[in-house]
Amino acid sequence: MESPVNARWTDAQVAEVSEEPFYLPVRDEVTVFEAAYARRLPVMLKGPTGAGKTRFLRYMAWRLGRPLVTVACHDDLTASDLLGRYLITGGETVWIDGPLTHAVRIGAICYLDEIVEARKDTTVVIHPLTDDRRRLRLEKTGELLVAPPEFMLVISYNPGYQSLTKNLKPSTRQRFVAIDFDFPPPDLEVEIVAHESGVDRETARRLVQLGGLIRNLRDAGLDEPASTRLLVYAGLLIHSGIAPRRACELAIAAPISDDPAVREAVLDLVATVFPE
Amino acid sequence: MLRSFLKRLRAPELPHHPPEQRATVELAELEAVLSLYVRALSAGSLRIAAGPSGARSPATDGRTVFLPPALPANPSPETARRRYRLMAAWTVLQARTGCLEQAPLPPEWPASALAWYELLQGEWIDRRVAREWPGLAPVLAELRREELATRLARRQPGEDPLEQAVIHLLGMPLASSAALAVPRDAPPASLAGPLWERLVTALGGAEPEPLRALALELAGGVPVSGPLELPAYRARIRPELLARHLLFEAVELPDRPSAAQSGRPAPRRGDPLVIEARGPAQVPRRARGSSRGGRQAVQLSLGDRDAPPTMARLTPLSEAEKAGAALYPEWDYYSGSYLAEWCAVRETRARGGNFELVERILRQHRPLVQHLKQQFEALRPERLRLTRQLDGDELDLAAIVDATADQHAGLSPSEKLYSRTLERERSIALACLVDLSGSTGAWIDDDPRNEQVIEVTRRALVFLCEALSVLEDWYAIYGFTGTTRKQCQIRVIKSFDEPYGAEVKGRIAGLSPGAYTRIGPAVRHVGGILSRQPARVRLLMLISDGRPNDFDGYGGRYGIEDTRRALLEARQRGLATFALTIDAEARDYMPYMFGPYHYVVVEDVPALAVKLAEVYRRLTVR
Repeated sequence: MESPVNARWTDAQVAEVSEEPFYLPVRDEVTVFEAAYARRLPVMLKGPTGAGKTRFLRYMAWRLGRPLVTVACHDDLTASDLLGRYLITGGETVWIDGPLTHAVRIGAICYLDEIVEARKDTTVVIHPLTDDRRRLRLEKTGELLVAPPEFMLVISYNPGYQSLTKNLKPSTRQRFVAIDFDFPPPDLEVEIVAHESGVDRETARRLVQLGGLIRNLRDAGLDEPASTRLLVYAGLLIHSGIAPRRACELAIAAPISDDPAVREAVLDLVATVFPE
Repeated sequence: MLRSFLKRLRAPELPHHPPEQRATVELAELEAVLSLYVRALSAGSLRIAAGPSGARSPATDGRTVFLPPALPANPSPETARRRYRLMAAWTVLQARTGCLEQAPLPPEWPASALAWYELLQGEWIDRRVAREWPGLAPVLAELRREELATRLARRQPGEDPLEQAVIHLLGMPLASSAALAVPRDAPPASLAGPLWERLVTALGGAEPEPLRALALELAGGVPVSGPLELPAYRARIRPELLARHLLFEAVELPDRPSAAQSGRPAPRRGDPLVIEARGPAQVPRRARGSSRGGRQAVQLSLGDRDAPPTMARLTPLSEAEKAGAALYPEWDYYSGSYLAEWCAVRETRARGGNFELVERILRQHRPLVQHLKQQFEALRPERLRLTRQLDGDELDLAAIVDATADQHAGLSPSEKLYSRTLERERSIALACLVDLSGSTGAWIDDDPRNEQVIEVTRRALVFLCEALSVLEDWYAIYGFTGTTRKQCQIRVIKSFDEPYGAEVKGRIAGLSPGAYTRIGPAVRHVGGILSRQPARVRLLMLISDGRPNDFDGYGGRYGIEDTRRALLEARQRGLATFALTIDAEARDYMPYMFGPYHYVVVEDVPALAVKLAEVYRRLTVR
């Protein structure tokens, strides 16, 4: 059954990554990912938000020359949203593949971003795809799909400070090769911030310094530490002519915590690193 | 959000005078923010405390930054805030760059060597601050200008060579070593010649080491008359503080985050995992010591470094000791095995107190409690019927009728013909485990003008219970204390099947500090109760003020390892574990016991009262 990429997918997209995305390897993650791909092992990208998980995957999709199907998981995501459903069109019922089914059919890399956000019963549908049978059963059509060798399943998972009701079940976790993502070491992060935001080295260095200081407050109850992404955002604002202190206030201090003491301390750190 | 709300609530009482009329800014007002600031700058290795009253300058013992209790709010309170920030940052650098390690000069050195060294390292740190944290450079430059002006104004002929040097160095720019090399005026006689060039290089250098030799040379060649009066923002080196610091070494645990970058000197000898206290440390007699942990733990691990367990330690409990108690094993880290039936835990009802105390707390904090309740209401399980869905459990009759009608009319019918019910059941059971060790009777920051830690805990429990009253979450509260493994006590403040009413309020009001903090058996006992509760998410939340610690050798690494085991056992039973602690040094051991994201350090102790409810809300929000 051939099915077109469906315009009705609201939480997913297919992309052919034709241009090389900017990615600087931190350790051996590229080699590990390629080995997992060659051995058809599913992969879990584990780490805080804004540490480069999604960028890494786009880069790998480009390297491996496979289309990338990305699903942004949320708590109303049902199994049918992943697998597909019958729709009524002009009095007829037509089966429309969901993004996961589609990815299996075309041998794409399927990326379930922030999998813990999805409902528990939803995550179970991926189980048969993650063992060596690599099968996907569509109950509604009675079809049994066997994933081609090019197909790969990747999930991302943020083990940070988050709700207990959203933890990944061990039975799910243990099906994946886990690649840890933490924020890159300072020198590399400077490269990334400078490249992505266009600011000069010195400014990038200061932004990374600030990020490092704020990350020291992880156990003070920050929602999320200052991620590389936030540093890049601050850099973009600076590059557009916003004064550094103000840019950091907008892009870093405000988003990471609602706690006034933490926020004030972060602003103090901003004022420590950047002169007025 | 909540905190800003609180701030608004408190706002009218805080500044008694309009800002421009205030004479001083007190450290207490800024403590919450400054302690986070210092934590960030020092990678968690330093904390702050108030210095002796009247102090104008900071000081440090290598672990704590002592800041003046108040600074003049002149010309504006903002100036004082900036100065506090600068003093804190300056002292952090002093402690972290090895300046202090250089400081205990050999006794055979002339007395003036320390004075010279203080002067030179101060200049070096000033430049380092400006380089590393350019945002502070303008404040620092301003302070240097003021300092210089004051000194020039009272300058007298025939002044001390040390004073001459201070004035000359303060007159030089902070910016770069290039600017340093071209002094506007010739250096004073004491600093002239090749010495000057070496000094300039050293001041622009990355390490403070060369300053030591320079100080010695200066002390040998130049007679000085009196002690040096340092610029007020600089921390004087206080050998007596350092000596105390050197008696203690920190616990270094395997996966303590950022231990590598923290710059803390590595423990020098012996098992790095054990707290050592050497020499005649001033040891408080009773557990009722500091509310900030640390000291207490050191006290009890005296001498039990690799101490093979004594015979007495390995004696099983007697029948009398076992009577009426629940028995739990303990992890013996020395032997790497469990000691069976090792701890006797007895559950008792917590003593009731006057529940009027709780009512008073509620009266005093009514708007806050109401706000918490509103926030918790948002957690209520929702049942949402979504109509006109692409897919769902049931057909949506209305949608089908519409679609059929459309079809008959020759229109393209909608394909959204289903309805579905979203169930967001909470199904959460919470067991709160409250540390009632003696140290909770201590005053916050050991200052009798503050309230006792247990008062904050009491308030935290009241707020949590009130907030939970709008939900159907299943919860219990237990206090734990005890003396030795023979008498571990669990005080039931609220069991799972008891309602939150007058009786529970009475018990919260009656909470009082007990003896020690043997966490392991308490976690095992309450974990057992919690694991029998029918709920999807079961959370064991510990509220603690220090390291695990008991009279019979349950300190240092032994206690930490057993607690870690107990928590692992709990997690294996499917319980989630989380801790709130007010011990500023908790990051030394908390990540090892609870895992990196499963604890929060609340250094601003009074904030704990709200933090407990807030953390619970965040942990269970869907």
